[in-house]
Amino acid sequence: MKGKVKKMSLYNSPRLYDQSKTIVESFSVNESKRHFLLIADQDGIEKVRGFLPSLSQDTYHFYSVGDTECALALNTTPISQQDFEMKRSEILSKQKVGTQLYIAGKWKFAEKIFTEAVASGFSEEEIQVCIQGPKERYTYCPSCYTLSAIHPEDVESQCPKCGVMLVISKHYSRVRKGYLGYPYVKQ
Amino acid sequence: MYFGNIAVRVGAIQQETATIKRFRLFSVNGEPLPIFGGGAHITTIVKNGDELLERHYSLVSPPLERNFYEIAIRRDDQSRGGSVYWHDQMKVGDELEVTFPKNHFALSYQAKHYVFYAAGIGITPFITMMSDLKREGKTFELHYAAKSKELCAFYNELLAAYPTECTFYFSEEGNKLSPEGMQDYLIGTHVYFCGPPSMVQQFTEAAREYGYSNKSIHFEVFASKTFEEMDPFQVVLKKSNKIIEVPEGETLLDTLLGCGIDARYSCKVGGCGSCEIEVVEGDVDHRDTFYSEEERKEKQIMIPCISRARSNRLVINL
Repeated sequence: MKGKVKKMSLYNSPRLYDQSKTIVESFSVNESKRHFLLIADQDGIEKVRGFLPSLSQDTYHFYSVGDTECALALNTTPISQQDFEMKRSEILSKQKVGTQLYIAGKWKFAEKIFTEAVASGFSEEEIQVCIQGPKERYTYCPSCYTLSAIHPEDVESQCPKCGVMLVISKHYSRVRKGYLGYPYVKQ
Repeated sequence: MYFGNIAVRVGAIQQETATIKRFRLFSVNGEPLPIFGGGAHITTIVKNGDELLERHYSLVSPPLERNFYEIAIRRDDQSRGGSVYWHDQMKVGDELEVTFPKNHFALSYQAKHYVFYAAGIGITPFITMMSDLKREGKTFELHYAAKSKELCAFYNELLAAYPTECTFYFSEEGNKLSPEGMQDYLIGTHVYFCGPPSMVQQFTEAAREYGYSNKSIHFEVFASKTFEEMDPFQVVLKKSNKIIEVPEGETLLDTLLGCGIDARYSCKVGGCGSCEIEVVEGDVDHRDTFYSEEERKEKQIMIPCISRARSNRLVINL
């Protein structure tokens, strides 16, 4: 039988979430890579400053986002937030195979770069993320399909949209972008 | 509707090159054959006197074609006899059984660009992969090595279907396939290798050296590396306390099957992991291409179709 076959899209893109294996306390050199790309906002710059001496100067490039006057070392590009937003996709997608990506900064900053990096072809093994400040965490309500923010220590929450009580499971859904919540009736 | 294996009949035989024949197989009962994804293969089951020849061949027919399957087989006088039987004995009208399509060499959905490296008969899994990718509008390249144009299977078809994607390397013209070009691809490129074990090993090592992540390196070997030493060893089956002796030159899997043990298996060349068993005690001589070094250290497992014992005795959880 020839003709059109409905294409099944297999959703398997990694997401940045609070328990992601890409999140580290401090960066480490991936010895299997030939080139290193570092991107930090002003909150993450200290993490990069402490790490750069571990790398040979001709193997890395660092984008310092938000401070156009900063120049930590050779191979550093200070870039404004606005310019980086425009060039982020190009910077990531032009990297060659064998590149390790390091991201340092606040959650929202890191999440955008992580998502763009995955879309450009980086695998999770090729990304390390140092988060400055709190990590964001979400739970998914199966009753009304709402995603709501929760605290890292929360084990239960109430859906802000439909009011149902949820036990927060340990299962993170990459499709729903949050931890699955199991509804229960509070006694 | 099919249950178990599929009864097929040889409908056509085409001499593809001096050493490769293409066989077209139709279902005996006339029912549509199952579709499959790029890279899939079937196991053909043929009776040669008292011997049952089970051999795996990549499908080369269009993945959505349900009227027939096609396989291409290179005649190898050094093989265990399967290819010689197909070339010398099989004729149009002969009937045999084949398994449902299986796939240990599937396309990765994470790749942004696909680069295929094929040598000789190693081209076969890429035929269906390129068909899938072309239909889905994804980008790919093929680098295909053969001795000469005359010995290059599917040359005209590939040039017609994928004129800008194919690069051919004919060793008799002094043009050799090299892994060096792999280092210049953009992030998100996945590389695929299929050919003789030495070629696959060379390209896999080069890809790792250039920094490709393990998930972006894919390969299939049709035959295992030739290991000279296949010393005998003893195996204890933990659940039954049965002791079996694996003789020199025989694999543990074949010994288990010969003892009537219903051990799972598929490729029999150490590439798919289907026959994996848990090792309770003993030192394993890992010869497979399925597990990474880290996995071998973390897990107490072995691939019995090819791996053996480094010590004299193994205890396995069967």
